[in-house]
Amino acid sequence: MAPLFIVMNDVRADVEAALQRWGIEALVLSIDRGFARLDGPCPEGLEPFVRERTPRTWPPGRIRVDHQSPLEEVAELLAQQIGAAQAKRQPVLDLAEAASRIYRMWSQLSQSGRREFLRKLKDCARYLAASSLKGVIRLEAGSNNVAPRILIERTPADRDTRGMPQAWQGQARRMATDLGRGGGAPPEEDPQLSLDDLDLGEADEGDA
Amino acid sequence: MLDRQDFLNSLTKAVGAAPGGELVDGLVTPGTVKTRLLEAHPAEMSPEGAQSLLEQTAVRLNLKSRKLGDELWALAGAEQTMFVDTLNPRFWQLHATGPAGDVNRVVRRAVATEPRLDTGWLPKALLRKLDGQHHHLRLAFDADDLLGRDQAVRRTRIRFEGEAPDGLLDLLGSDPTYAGATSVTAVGSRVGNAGVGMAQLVADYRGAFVTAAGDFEVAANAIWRLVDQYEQFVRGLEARYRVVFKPLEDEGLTVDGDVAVIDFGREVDVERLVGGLFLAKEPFRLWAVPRQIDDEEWIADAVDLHVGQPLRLEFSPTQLRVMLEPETCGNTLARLLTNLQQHLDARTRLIAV
Repeated sequence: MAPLFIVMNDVRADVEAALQRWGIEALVLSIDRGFARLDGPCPEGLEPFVRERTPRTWPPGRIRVDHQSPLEEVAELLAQQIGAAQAKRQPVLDLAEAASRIYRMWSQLSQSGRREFLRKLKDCARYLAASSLKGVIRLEAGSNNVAPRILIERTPADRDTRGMPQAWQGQARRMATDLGRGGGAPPEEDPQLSLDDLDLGEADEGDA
Repeated sequence: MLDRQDFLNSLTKAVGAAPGGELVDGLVTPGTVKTRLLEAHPAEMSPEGAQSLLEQTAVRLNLKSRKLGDELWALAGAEQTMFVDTLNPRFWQLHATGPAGDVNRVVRRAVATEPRLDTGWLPKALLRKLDGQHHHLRLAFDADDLLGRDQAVRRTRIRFEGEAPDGLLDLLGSDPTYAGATSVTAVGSRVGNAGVGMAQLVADYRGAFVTAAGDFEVAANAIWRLVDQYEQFVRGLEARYRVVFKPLEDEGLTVDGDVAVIDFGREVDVERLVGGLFLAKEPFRLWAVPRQIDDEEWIADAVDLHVGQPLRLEFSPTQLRVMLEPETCGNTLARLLTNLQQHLDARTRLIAV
């Protein structure tokens, strides 16, 4: 077991100086965009390194929002929960349940924090229900005794297997506007012919 | 009640019987045996749970279900009867001797309409572990959607028959131009030996098997062994990559579970990849509204439409990071990995970080 300090690279020198001043022997891992450096009294198996141009750039987003996050970030994750509920043909999405899946600190959150986060989810749901998911979802805001929930009135999963992908794609396009972005470039509409499409048959062999 | 051994014997007779003849043992039409691996999520992981899900699926598909033996079921339709072995309540095997196209249609409808069912998705390394002497190999790489045109290799259809299929794969894999197209779509093998019996078995990456000749029991053993390895693979993915959050005392939180990193084995146009991946159609069946966060870096809080589970995907030109939710099925990751091998680059693999 060895202590490890993980810091942004621009404050590395300050951290190292402070550790030295207090007589603390510890590894320091500093990171910055496209850069990582591990140095200090490294134990066996954990060799010092400097890496630039690492392919793993942004740190993985394990905890993506909290109760103070801006609405658009919360809306993105609520949209995912709605999509998952639609795929399972759930008629109802309980907002407190969705909150606990979106924000994993939910169980540790204070009552006021929970109220604040639920209020954000309701705002997001209201906005989506009035715009890209109009006629698809409806918010029941709840009261003191009734939990807030989203009623799912329509889902692409109810289409037949041929119409289903187009319905999901349509929903994604509409939501992209609400979530303030465009999707990735769709595949070209003019695919190259495959040899399978040309039906060459055995003519070449017969002519030989 | 039908004994499982008697059922296997009937299928062996069906493989050897003349096509178009009468029902074998009053149960099975003559023909090669098509086996499909199905991954099931019954509400309760038990024989009763599997029975309940199977019966609901049969109703949805207009099939009549009948119990033949312990965890062994017949599903009768207008054109053919299929048989489902739910001995393993999560990894079922569907057997049928009717036309492969009819069997595939039923399986496609079953998984498209029931989020608790999926097929198996065998990555290249696992498919090549099929028992026996490999003598048939099929490569069917198709990267139209994810790579687009102007690629050195865009589509391949290679069918090899002979005793040295591995040599062909090594040959193609050693050339950087063609290595990315060496996705293994199907492997054919002679399984068993003269002492216990022989069978000709073909396995493909979507968990489909055909026993074309010989003793079905021998083929069934080889299928079981591959299914066992697949189960270990899927459960291993879940054990390692499901990100689980647990409260720590009163105010903390522990995060357990790794981020799965999939390396493409090449540099890709991320925008193109993202555009082709979230079309909500087969084979990926992923839905998301992806977001660009930097030059050639995208993220997507996606939904796996097969099972209705959320997952987070983070893209760079050479790698994809996947974060599974505590409930997300390992089969989701297996499907993504296997299909990226078939449709992006055969060298795509999970890497340990």
